Amino acid sequence: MTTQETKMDHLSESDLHAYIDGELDADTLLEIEHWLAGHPDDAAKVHAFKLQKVQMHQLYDDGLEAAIPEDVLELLEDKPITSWMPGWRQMAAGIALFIIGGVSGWGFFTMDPMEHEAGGQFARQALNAHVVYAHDTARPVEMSAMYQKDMVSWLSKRLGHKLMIPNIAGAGFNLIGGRQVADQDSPAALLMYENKQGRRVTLFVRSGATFSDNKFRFIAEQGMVAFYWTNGPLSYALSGEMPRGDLLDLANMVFKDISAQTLS
Amino acid sequence: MDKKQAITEELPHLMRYARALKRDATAADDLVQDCVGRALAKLHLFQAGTNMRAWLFTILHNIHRQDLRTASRRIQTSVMDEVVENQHGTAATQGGALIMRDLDQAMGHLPEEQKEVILLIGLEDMSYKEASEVLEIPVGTVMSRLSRGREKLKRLMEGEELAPVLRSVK
Repeated sequence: MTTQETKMDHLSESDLHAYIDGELDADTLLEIEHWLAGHPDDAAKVHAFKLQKVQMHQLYDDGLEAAIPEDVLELLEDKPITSWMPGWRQMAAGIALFIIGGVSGWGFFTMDPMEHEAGGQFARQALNAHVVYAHDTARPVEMSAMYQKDMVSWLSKRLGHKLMIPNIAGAGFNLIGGRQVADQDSPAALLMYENKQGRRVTLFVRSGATFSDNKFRFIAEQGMVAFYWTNGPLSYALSGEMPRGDLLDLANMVFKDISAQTLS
Repeated sequence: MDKKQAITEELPHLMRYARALKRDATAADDLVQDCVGRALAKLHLFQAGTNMRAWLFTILHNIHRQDLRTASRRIQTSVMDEVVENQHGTAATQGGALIMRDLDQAMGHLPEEQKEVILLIGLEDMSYKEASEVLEIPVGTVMSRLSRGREKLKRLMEGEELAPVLRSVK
């Protein structure tokens, strides 16, 4: 690791990866963030490797919810299953999966497995869109907020529903624009907001109700956090890199403002 | 906590990791089953209060390595098939360069030792130290494999030119 006394003159491979994997102490972390701010080549590398991690989760996280082979469950059962309880075996397998799903790391409020899976996919899509576009310095949005009216009608057409643009300027975040994005099976839009410090949050909107209620769900991955929910015919995910409580405040603002606009 | 229960709670992680490692659901199921079977047989060796996940992953790895040794010929053949298939699709426009748009395929082209490290750290969120314990190698080796593996993965995904990955997201 880099020593504190000497000023950095290059970023070593090992520091670069240790930075991505959260293996550094606070001082070195700060030093590297400084370095990255002035060295776009290294910053691009960091971005590419972070993206690898996110995409790996996208590709393989289904495995967390894969059915555990019966033989494995049987190995772990304490008592042999008796044949006078038809269907018991299947039920036991179902219950085991259900419990495992609850502790496998996703903070879901719902226990409906279908919603659970769809929700997880939705949240990961949103995080992926965030990591790709929020850090894109060249072209983060397709249409600037300057043309908000056109943007709204264009994206609303894509979504098949009127897109509301929530106002979160009260928290210092201003809309910089939007773009259409690919979602698993339905059209989606991404709105991007930025504050004076250059920090960005994205609101991923897709058509369709992912959940049967409108509670907030939370996901944290690779230093990003997101709250996601359903409100009417659309589902939303607000993603950013900030403490959970701060993002929750923003999510509440978004929810309230959209609800208010819908009513008016 | 009951040891068996502790194993049960690690099953989703074992399943995900085995699938990523084997890239084949049936082979992954078999690997998890062998791993749990062996863990139960050795359960008296597990020290309460130590890291169950790391212990299980170490067992899983030892079995995986044995699998690779006994099946090394078959694996070589299947890698060859994959390369041929890819060249067939891309050779005409790319002058023979293989372009791995698909992360899964790119993972399949990584050396096993680099893939393991990338998955333990990138997917399972293990620390470098945990990964070094699971793989029974020094932390320095974990870091160099990680660095080489990620570079290689990046090159495979970029196929010399940047962006197919980013574009495919849109």
